[in-house]
Amino acid sequence: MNGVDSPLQRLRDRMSLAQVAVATAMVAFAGGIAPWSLALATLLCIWAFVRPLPATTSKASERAWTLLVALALVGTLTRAFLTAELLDAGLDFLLLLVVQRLFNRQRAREHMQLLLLGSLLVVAGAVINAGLNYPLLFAVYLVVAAMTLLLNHLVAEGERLGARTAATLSRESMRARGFLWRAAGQVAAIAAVGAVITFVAFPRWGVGAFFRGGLARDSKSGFSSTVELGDFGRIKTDATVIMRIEPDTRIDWGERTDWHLRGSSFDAYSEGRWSHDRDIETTIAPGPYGYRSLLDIRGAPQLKPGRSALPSILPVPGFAASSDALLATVTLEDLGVDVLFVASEPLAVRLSPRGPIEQRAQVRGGRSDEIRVDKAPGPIRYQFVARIGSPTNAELEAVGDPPVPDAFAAYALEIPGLSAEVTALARSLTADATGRNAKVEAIMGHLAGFTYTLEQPPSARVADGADPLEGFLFDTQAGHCEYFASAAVVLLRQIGVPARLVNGYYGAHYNSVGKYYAVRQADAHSWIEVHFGQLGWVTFDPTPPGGRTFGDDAQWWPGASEWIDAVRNAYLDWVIDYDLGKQLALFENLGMRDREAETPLLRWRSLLFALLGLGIVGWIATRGYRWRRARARPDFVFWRQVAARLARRGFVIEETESPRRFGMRVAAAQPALAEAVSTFMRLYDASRFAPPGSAEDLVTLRDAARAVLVALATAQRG
Amino acid sequence: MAITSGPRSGPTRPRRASLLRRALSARGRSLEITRAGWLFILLTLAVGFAAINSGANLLHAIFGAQMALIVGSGILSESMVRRTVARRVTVGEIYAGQAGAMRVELTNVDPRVDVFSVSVEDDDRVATQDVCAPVFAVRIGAGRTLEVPATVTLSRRGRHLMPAAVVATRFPFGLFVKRRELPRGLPILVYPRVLATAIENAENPRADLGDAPQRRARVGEFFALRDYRDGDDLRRIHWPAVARLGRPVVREHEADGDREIILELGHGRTGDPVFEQQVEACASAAVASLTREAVAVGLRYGPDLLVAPGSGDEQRRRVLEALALVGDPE
Amino acid sequence: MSSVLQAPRSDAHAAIAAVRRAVAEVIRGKDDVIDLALVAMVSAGHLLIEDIPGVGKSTLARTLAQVVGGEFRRIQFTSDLLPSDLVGVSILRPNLDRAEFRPGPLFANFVLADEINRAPPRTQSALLEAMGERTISVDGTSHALAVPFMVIATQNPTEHYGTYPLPESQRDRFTFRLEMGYAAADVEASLLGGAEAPGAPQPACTLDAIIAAQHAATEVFVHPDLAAYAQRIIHATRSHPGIRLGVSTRGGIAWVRAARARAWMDRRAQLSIDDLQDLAVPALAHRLIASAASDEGVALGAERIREVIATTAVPR
Repeated sequence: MNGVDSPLQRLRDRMSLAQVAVATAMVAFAGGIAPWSLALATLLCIWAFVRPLPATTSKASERAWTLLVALALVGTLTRAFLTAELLDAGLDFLLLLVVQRLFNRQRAREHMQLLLLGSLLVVAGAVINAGLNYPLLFAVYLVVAAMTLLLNHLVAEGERLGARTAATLSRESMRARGFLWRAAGQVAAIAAVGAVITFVAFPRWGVGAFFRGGLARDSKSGFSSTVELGDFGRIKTDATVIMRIEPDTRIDWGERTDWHLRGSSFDAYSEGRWSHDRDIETTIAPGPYGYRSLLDIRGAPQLKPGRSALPSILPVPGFAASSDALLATVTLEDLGVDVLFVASEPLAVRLSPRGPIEQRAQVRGGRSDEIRVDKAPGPIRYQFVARIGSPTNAELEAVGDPPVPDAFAAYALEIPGLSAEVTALARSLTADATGRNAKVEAIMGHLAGFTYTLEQPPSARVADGADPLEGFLFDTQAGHCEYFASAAVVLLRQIGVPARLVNGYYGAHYNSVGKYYAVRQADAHSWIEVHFGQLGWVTFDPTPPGGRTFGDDAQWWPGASEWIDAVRNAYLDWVIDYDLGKQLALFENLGMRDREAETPLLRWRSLLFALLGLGIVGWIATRGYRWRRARARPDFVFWRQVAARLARRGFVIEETESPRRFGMRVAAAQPALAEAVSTFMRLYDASRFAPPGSAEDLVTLRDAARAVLVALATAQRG
Repeated sequence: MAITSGPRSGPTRPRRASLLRRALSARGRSLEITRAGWLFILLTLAVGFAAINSGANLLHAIFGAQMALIVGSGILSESMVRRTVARRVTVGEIYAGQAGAMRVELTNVDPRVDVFSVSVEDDDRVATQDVCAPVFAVRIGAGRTLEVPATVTLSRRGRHLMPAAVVATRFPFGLFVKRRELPRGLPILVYPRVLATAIENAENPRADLGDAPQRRARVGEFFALRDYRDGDDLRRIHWPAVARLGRPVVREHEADGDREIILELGHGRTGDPVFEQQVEACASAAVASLTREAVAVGLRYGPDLLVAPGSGDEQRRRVLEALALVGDPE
Repeated sequence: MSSVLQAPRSDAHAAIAAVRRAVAEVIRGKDDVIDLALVAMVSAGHLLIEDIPGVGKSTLARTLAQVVGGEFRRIQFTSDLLPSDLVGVSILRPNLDRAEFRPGPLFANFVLADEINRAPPRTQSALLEAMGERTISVDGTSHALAVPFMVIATQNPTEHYGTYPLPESQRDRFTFRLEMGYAAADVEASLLGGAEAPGAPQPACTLDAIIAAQHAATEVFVHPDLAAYAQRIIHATRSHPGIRLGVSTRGGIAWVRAARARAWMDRRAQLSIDDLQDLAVPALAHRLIASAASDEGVALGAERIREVIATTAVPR
């Protein structure tokens, strides 16, 4: 039967495509599908829809498809085996199957398979997509898939019942389209309620075989683990939040903080590129409270158990503010790099494992005091302890010009490959300086006169093949933070001061909705660290203050984006990372535990919520009661019981039979039951058709029902 | 094209189906899981396993949605079937072995909620040659009645019940089939098969060679003379007799001027193929003759005159009714 | 026993019971017919008794009237009966300056219209109009009929010679159409054996009791589901292939009213399915036209009604 021309089937086909599209989007937004395969699949799908659908698939093309799918299967298995990209290969194969079904979609069966493929994609999305888009798309998917299923079911009924029925069915269905949409919406709502209930209440005792999170490959983060001058800038306006920080201390950090959130660090420079040239691995030792602590110059952990539940920092002699600590919890989105960001100066890190998957993550030391992590893809949460205080100018002066320790000799080496002009500049700038602090200040002072810009002006020198830094220093005297930081490090190194470049994020902006500090892509920044003997590495920021941050707010709808980000944070917290502990906490909270720190406002609000909830529950209950009254009246319940029991004994009531007649029939066949049954039937009839609001004598009816059951049991025994 | 119900989809392995059906049937209701349903249940189990195994929260949500769909499907299909009352009413005459007109009235007895996607079809658990064309309703408004024309084919003549049928639904997704048996109502009278060829031959003048003189004779055999009564056609006055008798008399003709045919049917047993064939021939002949105005048809069964000769539609009904029930019991 | 089952106990119930007893003494072995006649009376309806002569049609009507104690008139319908013979005539009195209305036999509580199908249609329709309107207009003045007013018409089966059968639409005015049937064998034997016919029965109740009963019967509660059920049945008669003309709305109203009366007589304050089902054939069969030969019309009608009842789902 070729019913491609029926409007019902056309609608069904479109819905089929739509549900697959939504399902694919759920995977694609998590980066689960390579762009080329997504584009190819899209093109093929469009082709499948544009071309006229043949009434039946010819034998030849059927064979061709089978061959193609078989080849693809082999290819997929090989790819999975060779590259260990099981998920990627599997998803590409799924897409191929979708395309194949779309090309051969004549019968309802094939659409059922398309729906199945769609649901597999949704499941795959659930595994890899931790984005806020997933629940939204899932809601859309539920409605679209429900409608598709409904339509396909109708088409299938048409196929089953013959062409004549199919024609009227198609017409009727199109007429009842609006009602079908409503029904689909209701079914989707049922499914959504089921999803929420299961989600909230189903106990979590997972043992972990799959991984969740994004398969982020090339991250578009403003931060990058490599630095290449001349290829940066457009990211600076991206307001996407990549990090959320909840400081644990009771200090008011204000609307915007000036933390330098340290990510990766570089020690070698060559022709505009920074890299790790030397093996300066940082060791990390276990510290108190499960922290992994960095070691100080003497090779000892810098944390010790504190008086309170917080660890305390070992003070550094000659550094008054060295005990000022920042202890914060960070939720870090997956940036595609394995670096953890910690405010300078990082002292210790502790992962907050949420569930079995995160327990496998391991923190290790990187190079140049980087903290790296081996983890599954996806967002991660950790705590850090940082020394937030910085030495005063006087304290820095007091250090003088200490010798460079052997371990840090590499940081003090002159950068090779630069013209003598650079060294000459460094020397001339620091000619009068005696101490290390004075040298640093001289160079900072020189750079402070430069212009901050995201649009790198063209430089004749660089065009002639000179190093970009020389262009910055001598030609344009304008650039962005990486130029400033690179120039500072290079100039310091040329005069033997140990210095290194640090990449990370500067500052954080307070989100009053979610009560945390948000760090955006636009906050990506570069700065330097200079070694000051026993004071350790000290942070300097050569970039003019106006260039350190692009601004706190998103360009459009700053309030809304704050809300969205808070929702996203809550989603990560309460959906993606919902676990047994949170489950228990949730149910405990539902148990109305008395909280001491409740403000009157909160109490008032919770009262309001409680009233609202009660109102809604009451409304639903009365509505449901009214709806069910005719059917689930207590007398009907008795009737159902008695009828079921009698049916088991072979007395099935006819649809057209009145209770009394039924009772008479039973009585005639089973005289032993006569009295009990006819009494019950009479009473039921009286109760069923009584005026509304009349006092029903349910006790009598119940006794009569029991009498029937007893009589039945007696009759059975006898 | 045959308007019979096509092959039913669903579980192909009959053994499993029958076992399950028995387990899921009660009080005239039955539940069956289609192939898609099995697939869906399998997928749900797999997702549930994955969810428990991995502890991934979104998988839990999907698992919950699928479980809700399964449970919801069951509840919805049950409520569709429960709320639908179907009545099958034959329209006009039903001839054995021929599709007769029928009307299926589908009533949604719930005054508040619509019913979607219900069909009335033959119960495939009952082996019979009697067939009703399936009907399908996409939507029945709350409290509304939908009348759907259909056909019914009953294989034998006589008084028979309608074929066993069920109200079935696969709503919402075709994962489960819910059926409820219909009351079969009262027996309906099935006329014997009337062969269309016999009627065509009768209507073709050349096929009936002795026809021409009879058709022209608008009056039958002379019967008697009687006194003229007020209102009699003046043309029927027999003038010679008037002259002879001195009072007005008119001619009377037998059977109002019609030719008369008495169909004779020998004794036979109902169900005997030879006898059945004779009954069919009789019925065909009677219908063929009665479609022509000028013939009165009667029916004799053995020695008994079952139907006195007569003509017109009522006579046709009488003869066919007699033929429907004629025959010694098996 | 549940209290909701019973209507408040009243004298009216006792009165009706007494009437039933008294009638049953005269008409023996016909309890079903008597019950239906009483239901018709309590529902303020009229009765059409149709059967061959000599089975006690007139006796039933007369006895009923006598027992109830109302004014009773018997009108033998003949082919020369005129409408004015029923309703009465206006007579101009010379000494008075106006016409005086002399009421006819219809101005009684119980009117036995014997062999109604012997009168010409014009006379029949005068009677039927009075039954429907319960008033009579003569010379532009309307005269109210007595309360209660009940017509019990008897009719011979139509194949008997020289009759004007009531058309179906006119039969609609009667609440029930009943058949007497022959008396049961033992009863007939005792009649033949010369069992002495009881004399004229004494009134067993007052008219007020009947009026009270009629009023009380209208108070019986009809559950909406039952009303819907009754509607479904009426609707089904209209779409039944074997029925040319289905039951009218008036017929349906009369049916439900009779069912109410039956429920009241059963001392119930509410209608049940059985009231409707049991009364469907006597109340509805004569109101429809089956699509078959007319000679078997009413029997076929009863058959069709049973069919409809047997295929219409009852409310649960």
